[in-house]
Amino acid sequence: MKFKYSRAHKPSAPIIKVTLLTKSGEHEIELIVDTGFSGGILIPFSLYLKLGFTLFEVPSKYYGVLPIGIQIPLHTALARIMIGDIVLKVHIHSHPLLNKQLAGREVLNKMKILLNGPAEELEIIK
Amino acid sequence: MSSVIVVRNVDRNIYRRVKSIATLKGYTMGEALTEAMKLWLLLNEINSKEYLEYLLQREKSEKKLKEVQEKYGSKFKGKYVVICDGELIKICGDEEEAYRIASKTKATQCIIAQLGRITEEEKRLELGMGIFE
Repeated sequence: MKFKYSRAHKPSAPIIKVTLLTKSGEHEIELIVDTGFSGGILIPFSLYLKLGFTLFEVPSKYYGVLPIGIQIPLHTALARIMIGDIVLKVHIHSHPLLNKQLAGREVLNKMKILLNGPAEELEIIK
Repeated sequence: MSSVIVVRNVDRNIYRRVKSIATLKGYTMGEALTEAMKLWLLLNEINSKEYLEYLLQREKSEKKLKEVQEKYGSKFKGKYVVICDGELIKICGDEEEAYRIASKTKATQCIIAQLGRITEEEKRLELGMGIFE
Protein backbone atom coordinates (compact mmCIF):
# COMPACT_ATOMS: atom_id res chain seq x y z
CA MET A 1 0.00 0.00 0.00
CA LYS A 2 1.50 3.33 -1.07
CA PHE A 3 0.64 6.96 -0.35
CA LYS A 4 2.07 9.94 -2.22
CA TYR A 5 3.62 12.63 -0.02
CA SER A 6 1.58 15.78 0.52
CA ARG A 7 2.89 18.65 -1.58
CA ALA A 8 0.80 21.12 0.43
CA HIS A 9 3.79 21.03 2.80
CA LYS A 10 7.22 22.42 2.00
CA PRO A 11 9.24 20.25 1.72
CA SER A 12 6.66 17.58 0.90
CA ALA A 13 5.50 15.48 3.87
CA PRO A 14 4.63 11.79 4.28
CA ILE A 15 0.94 11.13 4.86
CA ILE A 16 -1.27 8.11 5.37
CA LYS A 17 -4.95 7.78 4.58
CA VAL A 18 -6.89 6.31 7.46
CA THR A 19 -10.52 5.25 7.67
CA LEU A 20 -12.04 6.03 11.04
CA LEU A 21 -14.82 3.61 11.98
CA THR A 22 -17.41 5.76 13.70
CA LYS A 23 -20.97 5.33 14.91
CA SER A 24 -22.26 6.93 11.74
CA GLY A 25 -20.09 4.90 9.39
CA GLU A 26 -16.67 5.13 7.81
CA HIS A 27 -14.82 8.42 7.48
CA GLU A 28 -11.55 8.73 5.56
CA ILE A 29 -8.98 11.32 6.58
CA GLU A 30 -5.41 12.18 5.67
CA LEU A 31 -2.87 12.26 8.48
CA ILE A 32 0.63 13.66 8.53
CA VAL A 33 3.15 11.07 9.72
CA ASP A 34 4.65 12.54 12.89
CA THR A 35 7.19 10.44 14.78
CA GLY A 36 7.55 13.29 17.31
CA PHE A 37 3.98 12.66 18.50
CA SER A 38 3.81 9.73 20.91
CA GLY A 39 0.00 9.34 20.83
CA GLY A 40 -2.31 7.62 18.37
CA ILE A 41 -4.19 10.01 16.11
CA LEU A 42 -4.69 13.73 16.60
CA ILE A 43 -7.68 15.37 14.93
CA PRO A 44 -9.33 18.80 15.24
CA PHE A 45 -11.98 19.00 17.95
CA SER A 46 -14.73 19.93 15.46
CA LEU A 47 -14.12 16.60 13.69
CA TYR A 48 -13.87 14.70 17.00
CA LEU A 49 -17.28 16.08 17.94
CA LYS A 50 -18.83 15.56 14.49
CA LEU A 51 -17.75 11.91 14.32
CA GLY A 52 -19.13 11.18 17.80
CA PHE A 53 -15.86 10.26 19.53
CA THR A 54 -17.07 12.03 22.69
CA LEU A 55 -19.25 8.93 23.21
CA PHE A 56 -16.31 6.52 23.39
CA GLU A 57 -13.93 8.25 25.76
CA VAL A 58 -11.43 6.54 28.00
CA PRO A 59 -11.40 7.12 31.77
CA SER A 60 -7.76 8.28 31.94
CA LYS A 61 -6.88 11.94 31.58
CA TYR A 62 -4.40 12.60 28.80
CA TYR A 63 -2.12 15.61 28.52
CA GLY A 64 -0.11 16.62 25.49
CA VAL A 65 3.27 18.10 26.37
CA LEU A 66 4.52 20.75 23.96
CA PRO A 67 8.27 20.90 23.21
CA ILE A 68 8.43 24.02 25.41
CA GLY A 69 7.01 22.05 28.36
CA ILE A 70 3.46 23.44 28.39
CA GLN A 71 0.76 20.81 28.93
CA ILE A 72 -2.56 20.77 27.08
CA PRO A 73 -5.38 18.48 28.24
CA LEU A 74 -6.34 16.09 25.45
CA HIS A 75 -9.81 14.64 24.98
CA THR A 76 -9.28 10.99 24.20
CA ALA A 77 -11.40 8.17 22.82
CA LEU A 78 -10.57 4.62 21.84
CA ALA A 79 -11.65 3.72 18.32
CA ARG A 80 -11.10 1.34 15.45
CA ILE A 81 -9.35 2.53 12.33
CA MET A 82 -8.52 0.95 9.00
CA ILE A 83 -5.42 1.53 6.91
CA GLY A 84 -6.02 -0.45 3.74
CA ASP A 85 -6.96 -3.86 5.11
CA ILE A 86 -5.18 -3.36 8.45
CA VAL A 87 -7.61 -2.82 11.34
CA LEU A 88 -6.23 -1.25 14.51
CA LYS A 89 -7.66 -0.04 17.79
CA VAL A 90 -6.02 3.26 18.67
CA HIS A 91 -6.46 6.35 20.80
CA ILE A 92 -7.97 9.39 19.08
CA HIS A 93 -6.90 12.66 20.72
CA SER A 94 -8.21 16.15 20.30
CA HIS A 95 -8.33 19.68 21.70
CA PRO A 96 -9.92 22.84 20.26
CA LEU A 97 -6.53 24.59 20.17
CA LEU A 98 -4.87 21.85 18.14
CA ASN A 99 -5.93 21.93 14.53
CA LYS A 100 -3.57 19.36 12.99
CA GLN A 101 -4.29 15.85 11.74
CA LEU A 102 -1.40 13.65 12.83
CA ALA A 103 -0.57 9.96 13.03
CA GLY A 104 1.68 9.38 16.03
CA ARG A 105 3.93 6.56 17.19
CA GLU A 106 1.09 4.53 18.75
CA VAL A 107 -0.13 3.93 15.18
CA LEU A 108 3.17 4.06 13.29
CA ASN A 109 4.88 1.52 15.55
CA LYS A 110 2.29 -1.10 14.61
CA MET A 111 3.38 -1.14 10.98
CA LYS A 112 6.46 -1.56 8.86
CA ILE A 113 6.75 1.70 6.93
CA LEU A 114 9.17 2.74 4.22
CA LEU A 115 9.63 6.46 3.65
CA ASN A 116 10.83 6.74 0.09
CA GLY A 117 11.89 10.38 0.07
CA PRO A 118 13.27 10.62 -3.50
CA ALA A 119 10.04 9.11 -4.87
CA GLU A 120 7.97 11.15 -2.40
CA GLU A 121 6.09 8.03 -1.45
CA LEU A 122 5.24 6.24 1.79
CA GLU A 123 4.86 2.49 1.59
CA ILE A 124 3.33 0.18 4.18
CA ILE A 125 5.14 -3.11 3.87
CA LYS A 126 3.32 -6.33 4.73
CA MET B 1 -6.44 29.65 -4.41
CA SER B 2 -6.01 33.35 -5.07
CA SER B 3 -8.74 35.88 -4.32
CA VAL B 4 -9.07 39.53 -3.41
CA ILE B 5 -11.18 40.42 -0.39
CA VAL B 6 -11.79 44.02 0.58
CA VAL B 7 -12.26 44.63 4.31
CA ARG B 8 -13.45 47.96 5.70
CA ASN B 9 -12.75 49.48 9.11
CA VAL B 10 -9.40 47.79 9.72
CA ASP B 11 -7.32 49.50 12.42
CA ARG B 12 -4.39 51.02 10.48
CA ASN B 13 -1.93 50.76 13.38
CA ILE B 14 -2.69 47.08 13.93
CA TYR B 15 -2.49 46.49 10.18
CA ARG B 16 0.96 48.14 10.00
CA ARG B 17 2.27 46.11 12.94
CA VAL B 18 1.00 42.86 11.43
CA LYS B 19 2.46 43.78 8.04
CA SER B 20 5.90 44.56 9.46
CA ILE B 21 6.06 41.30 11.43
CA ALA B 22 4.74 39.31 8.46
CA THR B 23 7.41 40.85 6.21
CA LEU B 24 10.15 40.09 8.74
CA LYS B 25 9.03 36.46 8.89
CA GLY B 26 8.68 36.11 5.12
CA TYR B 27 4.89 35.79 5.07
CA THR B 28 2.57 37.54 2.65
CA MET B 29 -0.23 39.54 4.29
CA GLY B 30 -2.72 36.99 2.95
CA GLU B 31 -0.85 34.16 4.69
CA ALA B 32 -0.51 36.11 7.94
CA LEU B 33 -4.18 37.11 8.00
CA THR B 34 -5.31 33.57 7.20
CA GLU B 35 -3.22 32.26 10.14
CA ALA B 36 -4.65 34.99 12.41
CA MET B 37 -8.22 34.17 11.37
CA LYS B 38 -7.62 30.43 11.94
CA LEU B 39 -6.41 31.21 15.46
CA TRP B 40 -9.43 33.42 16.06
CA LEU B 41 -11.72 30.57 15.01
CA LEU B 42 -9.94 28.17 17.38
CA LEU B 43 -10.23 30.57 20.30
CA ASN B 44 -13.92 30.94 19.59
CA GLU B 45 -14.36 27.19 19.55
CA ILE B 46 -12.92 26.99 23.08
CA ASN B 47 -15.53 29.48 24.27
CA SER B 48 -18.39 27.81 22.43
CA LYS B 49 -21.44 26.67 24.38
CA GLU B 50 -21.08 23.22 22.81
CA TYR B 51 -17.54 22.77 24.12
CA LEU B 52 -18.33 24.06 27.59
CA GLU B 53 -21.33 21.72 27.76
CA TYR B 54 -19.11 18.81 26.74
CA LEU B 55 -16.57 19.69 29.47
CA LEU B 56 -19.33 19.86 32.07
CA GLN B 57 -20.71 16.45 31.10
CA ARG B 58 -17.21 14.91 31.07
CA GLU B 59 -16.66 16.14 34.63
CA LYS B 60 -20.00 14.65 35.73
CA SER B 61 -19.14 11.32 34.09
CA GLU B 62 -15.73 11.18 35.79
CA LYS B 63 -17.38 11.76 39.18
CA LYS B 64 -19.97 9.08 38.50
CA LEU B 65 -17.30 6.60 37.37
CA LYS B 66 -15.54 6.97 40.73
CA GLU B 67 -18.80 6.19 42.55
CA VAL B 68 -19.54 3.23 40.28
CA GLN B 69 -16.02 1.80 40.72
CA GLU B 70 -16.38 2.02 44.51
CA LYS B 71 -19.84 0.44 44.49
CA TYR B 72 -19.52 -2.23 41.79
CA GLY B 73 -15.78 -2.47 41.10
CA SER B 74 -15.17 -5.73 42.93
CA LYS B 75 -18.62 -7.27 42.38
CA PHE B 76 -18.47 -6.91 38.59
CA LYS B 77 -14.71 -6.98 38.13
CA GLY B 78 -13.68 -7.26 34.47
CA LYS B 79 -17.04 -6.10 33.10
CA TYR B 80 -17.46 -2.83 31.22
CA VAL B 81 -19.46 0.16 32.30
CA VAL B 82 -21.00 2.89 30.16
CA ILE B 83 -21.46 6.25 31.85
CA CYS B 84 -23.02 9.07 29.84
CA ASP B 85 -23.51 12.68 30.94
CA GLY B 86 -22.92 11.64 34.56
CA GLU B 87 -25.42 8.77 34.53
CA LEU B 88 -24.72 5.04 34.76
CA ILE B 89 -26.23 3.63 31.55
CA LYS B 90 -25.30 -0.05 31.74
CA ILE B 91 -22.85 -2.60 33.04
CA CYS B 92 -21.93 -4.72 30.02
CA GLY B 93 -20.46 -8.18 29.66
CA ASP B 94 -17.83 -7.12 27.16
CA GLU B 95 -16.28 -4.09 25.50
CA GLU B 96 -18.13 -4.59 22.21
CA GLU B 97 -21.49 -4.40 23.96
CA ALA B 98 -20.36 -1.26 25.81
CA TYR B 99 -19.46 0.41 22.50
CA ARG B 100 -22.84 -0.59 21.01
CA ILE B 101 -24.70 0.87 23.99
CA ALA B 102 -22.69 4.12 23.94
CA SER B 103 -23.20 4.56 20.20
CA LYS B 104 -26.98 4.38 20.64
CA THR B 105 -27.20 7.10 23.28
CA LYS B 106 -28.12 10.68 22.50
CA ALA B 107 -25.74 11.90 25.21
CA THR B 108 -23.11 14.61 24.84
CA GLN B 109 -20.32 12.59 26.39
CA CYS B 110 -19.70 8.98 27.53
CA ILE B 111 -16.90 7.15 29.31
CA ILE B 112 -16.39 3.44 28.73
CA ALA B 113 -14.36 1.80 31.50
CA GLN B 114 -13.55 -1.63 32.84
CA LEU B 115 -14.80 -2.27 36.35
CA GLY B 116 -12.34 -3.18 39.09
CA ARG B 117 -9.42 -2.01 36.98
CA ILE B 118 -7.31 0.76 38.39
CA THR B 119 -6.81 3.15 35.51
CA GLU B 120 -3.76 5.35 35.41
CA GLU B 121 -5.21 8.74 36.33
CA GLU B 122 -2.99 10.89 34.13
CA LYS B 123 -1.01 10.08 31.00
CA ARG B 124 1.39 12.39 29.26
CA LEU B 125 2.12 12.38 25.54
CA GLU B 126 4.84 14.15 23.58
CA LEU B 127 3.28 16.48 21.03
CA GLY B 128 6.46 17.22 19.09
CA MET B 129 6.93 20.04 16.62
CA GLY B 130 4.35 18.69 14.15
CA ILE B 131 1.57 20.70 15.74
CA PHE B 132 3.35 23.99 14.96
CA GLU B 133 4.00 23.47 11.29
